Order: sequence, then C-alpha cells, then structure tokens
Amino acid sequence: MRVLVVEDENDIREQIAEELGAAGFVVDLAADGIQGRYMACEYPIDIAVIDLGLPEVNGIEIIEAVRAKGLDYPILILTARGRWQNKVEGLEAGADDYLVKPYHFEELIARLKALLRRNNRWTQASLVCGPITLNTSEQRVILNGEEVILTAYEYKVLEHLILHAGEVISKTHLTESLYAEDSDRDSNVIEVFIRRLRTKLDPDNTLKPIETLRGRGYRFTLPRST
Amino acid sequence: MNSLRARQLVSTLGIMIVGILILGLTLNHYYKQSAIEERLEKMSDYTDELLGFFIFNRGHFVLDVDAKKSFDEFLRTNKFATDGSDAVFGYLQDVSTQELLWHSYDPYEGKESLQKTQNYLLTFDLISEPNQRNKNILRPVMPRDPPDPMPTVFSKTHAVASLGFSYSPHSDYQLVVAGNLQSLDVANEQQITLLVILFFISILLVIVSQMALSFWVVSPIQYFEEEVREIEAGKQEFIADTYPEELVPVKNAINALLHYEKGQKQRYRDALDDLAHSLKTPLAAMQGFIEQEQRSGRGDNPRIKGMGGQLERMNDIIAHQLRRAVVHEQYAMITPEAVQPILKRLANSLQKVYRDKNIEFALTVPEIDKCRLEYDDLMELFGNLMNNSCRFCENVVAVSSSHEQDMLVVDIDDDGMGFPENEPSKLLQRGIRADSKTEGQGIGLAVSTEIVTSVGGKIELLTSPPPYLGARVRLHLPI
Repeated sequence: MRVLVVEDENDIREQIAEELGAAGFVVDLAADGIQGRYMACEYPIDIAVIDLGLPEVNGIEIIEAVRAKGLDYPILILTARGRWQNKVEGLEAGADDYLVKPYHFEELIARLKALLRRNNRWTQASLVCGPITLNTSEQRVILNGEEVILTAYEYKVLEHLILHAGEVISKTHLTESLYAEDSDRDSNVIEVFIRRLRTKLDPDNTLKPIETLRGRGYRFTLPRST
Repeated sequence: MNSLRARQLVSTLGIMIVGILILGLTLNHYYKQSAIEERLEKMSDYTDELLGFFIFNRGHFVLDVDAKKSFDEFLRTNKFATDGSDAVFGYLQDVSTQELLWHSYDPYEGKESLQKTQNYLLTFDLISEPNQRNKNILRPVMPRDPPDPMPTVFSKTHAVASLGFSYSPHSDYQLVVAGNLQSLDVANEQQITLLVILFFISILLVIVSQMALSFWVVSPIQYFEEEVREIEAGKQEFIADTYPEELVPVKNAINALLHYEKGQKQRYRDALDDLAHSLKTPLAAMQGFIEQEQRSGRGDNPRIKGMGGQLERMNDIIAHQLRRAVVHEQYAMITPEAVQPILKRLANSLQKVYRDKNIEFALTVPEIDKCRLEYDDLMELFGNLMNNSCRFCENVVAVSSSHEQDMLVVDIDDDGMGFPENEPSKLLQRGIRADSKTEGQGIGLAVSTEIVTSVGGKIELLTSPPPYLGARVRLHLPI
C-alpha cells in the first residue's frame, strides 16, 4: 500500500516513514503544504496522513484539493490541535479519521489499515474470500485452515488484490504500491509474484483466485465472504 | 431615584414650583406698588382739582356758587363718599391751628358745624409746608373721643396726597385728599387667587408635557436598552440603530468593547492553540524516539521506560491545563448558542470516524433550544460526550432535550453497557477512564464537567431508560 505522509516536523516525518515502512507500506514524504498538495493530487497513493498545521498550505486546504479533484482515497488527519472544532473542520473538509499528537505508532498503523479496509468495503481485520483468509493485523494468510507462508512482497501483492477483490488492478498500480518512487523496479517482478501466489494458494489449479486480464492487469476472483 | 423619568419629572416640577412662586410674588409686589402709586398720583391730582373750586375771600374759603353743579359732579364722579372700599375724601385745614375748614363728608357745612362732627371725620397726622406736596400711605388719626362702635374705616390704610399753600398774612393751609386702599387689597387677593390657579394649571401642564417629553427624550434610551438586551440574548452582535448625538459616544464605546472582547477571546484561543501545537509536536517526536528504542530491543532500559512515563504525564498535564485555561476564562457577555447545529455537525463527523459501527444518531433537540455557552465550549463538551457514546454504544446514540426552570436539560444516551455501577461519578474526575485502551487523554469527561460547572450547570451520569439501557449523560445547561 502506498501512503503519503505530509508532515513539516523532520523527526516525526522520519519516524512515521520508518514505522510505516516496517509495517509494509510504501511511503511518500512531503515536508510542506505545497509539496504535499502536489503529491496528494498527482501521485497514485492509496492513503494519506496529513498534518493540519503546515507552512504555506495548511492540511485542510490539501484535503479540500484532493476531494475537489475527485480522489476518494482515505485521509487521516494527524494534528496537535486536539479541539473538537479542529477535528470537525478536518472531517468536514473530507478527511476520514483523526489522530491527536502525541500518538502511538501501533495506533497510527491500526487506524490506517482500518481506513484502507473500510475504503474497500471491508469491516473486519480478517479479509475472507472463499477458503482464503488474510489477517491484516497479524499479516498472516490462511488457506483451508492452514497458514500459507508468504514473503513480504507476496503478502503485499495479495493484500492489495484482496482489498480490491473483484476490481481490476493494473500492473503499474501494483508496482507503485509495492515500491517507493525512487527505487529500481524490475518490469517482470509482478508477474513473478503473481505466479508464486497462484502456486501457493492454488496448488491444484482448481480455485483460480487471480485472473490475468491481458493489457489491463489482474483481478482477485474469489467472492468476499460476509 | 433610579428612574430617569422620575428624575426628570421631579427636577422639572421643582424648578417650575420655585420659579412660579418667585415670579408670582414679584409680579404681585410690582402690581401692588403700581396700584398704590397710581392711587397716590390720582389723590394728588384731586388736590389740584379740588383747590380750584375754592375762593379765598378775606380770610375765608368759600365755594363758588356758580360752580356748585360741577363741584357736585366732581365729588360724585370721583367717589368722594363716606364709605365703600374705594371711597375718597378730602379736607382743608389751617396748618397753624390744625382747624378743619372744610371736609368732603359735609361739603356745604362751615367750620362750626364741622367741630360738632369732628369725631366722625377722618384726618391724618400730616403737616404740609406751603408749596409742598406730600404723598403717603397713612392710617387716619384716631379721634380724641372715639365713637362707639368705632367705624372700621379708621383702621384702614389710605393713599394720602396733600398740598400746602399760604395766603399771607392770614395763615398756611393744606388741602388733603385720601383714598381708601381696601379696594387694592381686594384686587390683590383676587390676583393671588389667580396666581394660585395659574400655579396648579402650570403643574398640570408640566406633568402632561413631561409625559410627552419622556416619550420624545427618553425613548432613544429605551431603544438603546432594548438593543443591549438583544445583544445579551445573542440576537445581534453590536448596537446598530441611529441615536441622538448625546448617546453616540456611549454606543461607540460599547461597540468597541464588544469588538475588543470578541477579538480578545479569539486571540486567546489561537494563542492557546499555537501553544498546544508547539508543545505537543516535540512531545510526539520524543515519544516516537522512545517507541523506536523500545522496538529495537533497548526498551527494557529503565531510563527509557521512565522517560516514556514522564512524557505521558507531561502530555496529560499540557492537555488538561490548556483546556482549563480556556474553560476558566470568564467573559463579560456569553450569548446563548443553538445546540442542534453543533450536534448535527458532530454527528456527521463521528459517523465518518465510526463508519464500521454504522451508528444510528437519533437527535431530537429542537432548533430553538439554546444554552449560554461559547460555541467552542459547546463543541468541546458535546464532542467529548458524543465521542464517548460512539465508542461504547452498540449502534445507537440518542440526544434529546427538555426544559427545567431556567436550565436546558440535554440527555446523551447510548445502547452500550452503561457506566460501572460502583460510583460512576468517579469518572468525572480527571485521569480516570472507563476504557483505557482507546484513544484520549482520560480527561474528556472531566473537561466536560469543568465546562459545564464553569457556567453554573451540572452533569450527571445515569442509566439510559428503555429501549437503550446503556449510559446516559445528563447535562443541565443555563439558558
């Protein structure tokens, strides 16, 4: 998942980047409002963490610009201004949740994952599609009651596909969700991960959980369990 | 005397009463003096005219027989008589012997006859030198052998004019003419009665004019007062109407004060917000460092653990003290704020935050329900309480209102598990949380209590009635 963090305080920005990176997120960083607004509107991000008190352009203006552009990814406000007036203004501008400083990283990560699930119409931490269960908080995958061992990247690809189950996800989008903007990317790596996932999740080739749509991308085909 | 109208009425009445009294007395004195002067002048004229009818012949004064008709006419026309309030009489007297030679009471009798009736004749203690004129206010000389009963005319003052003359070598004489001043006293009494009537008519007119003036002069002050009440009731922000120039400085001063106070509140809040931001951001960074240290395996170091605890404590103190600073700031004028729009804003925002729970908000607070709290404080109060309800409810949060004397009673109910039965009021104290796992500084309920009590309200923790059966927070807020 690709997360944008807009925070002007260097230490906090670096800490969040480190913690979210360790939690499996691909992190884009912006140090001021202008840069943050540009990245929030132009980058293919899945979720954003935005501080309200920013130089040049404040957090509310960034959220309004994102929503005005028709982008509906979840936004979490990170603010030291804990008054309800500030929280409500942020939520009314288009944010989905808020977190008041100082905070615990576990809570920040939990909130982000919850927002991502919610944005894709998942209500629980466990995403269940047919015999496959993906637990986002434990980062474990269960197939027919038995755990499937996945690498970090394999897990990220599967989580992205299951979160958007039923939707077509382009290869570019998957690549951008897995890798940071400035990292070296192998154009065939996504195909490799998809092939490995098919092998691990459907060794008998009976489930066919991941469908390839030529020239368009991939789709997780198993229906969501309610 | 607190009423402007009463002050105006009393002062005007006082001025009018004293003014009319002084004016009346002055006028009365002036008219009386003029009447006396006029009477004296007339008496003086009579002496000249009367002397014209006498002829001095060999030591005796005789009346011109040819002029008898005109003499009678003169006496009659000019009221030479024995009685009456305006009766006039005259007499001719030898100054050296004090002997009466003629008296108008018996105009055709000689001096011998006059001596017989001298007890009834009026004379004055008066000597006029030849060619001398006198004018005086005098009482008649009492007779040596007073008649019984004594005629009242002897006790009356008279306007007396005398003319002295001499016929050498015979003697010096004086002709005296006097007029009763009783008619002037009667006129004076009539004038005083008229003045008293005028006095009461004036008082009546003053009262009527005062009422008209009150409407005309005091009405701007009344409108002014109404505007101040409207501001106090929160229906307007400043004094807007046009007023007479005497009230303009007051209007400007009040508007400036209101503007200043409004700006002051905003500046104070902004300053506290900035302070909160500048303190909490480094706290967040420090807490981040400590968490990272703990995750990297150095978290068991007791110093790191101690720092973490102190940071939590600092954060708690900052949050609490900043909130207290805002809540305890007393302002001169708190305008009533409508509750419903704030509840709607919060419900919409919380619906977003707790979307997973699919909470149903039942807001049954009428649009007109207001309470005397700042908008920010209401936002903070209901934000904290509704957020708590959202955290603990199953899927319903209900807010309703009612009135109890001069208080707006707001109930916030949920269908959760309710407050712990053991002393739920402990939750209102700072630092005690119902759920330590969830986000917050543990001061939400305590801050709400501080907000409510700072304006003289009350907060109660109860159990929701059916169908909710969860927690109920009841607020008593001043209207």
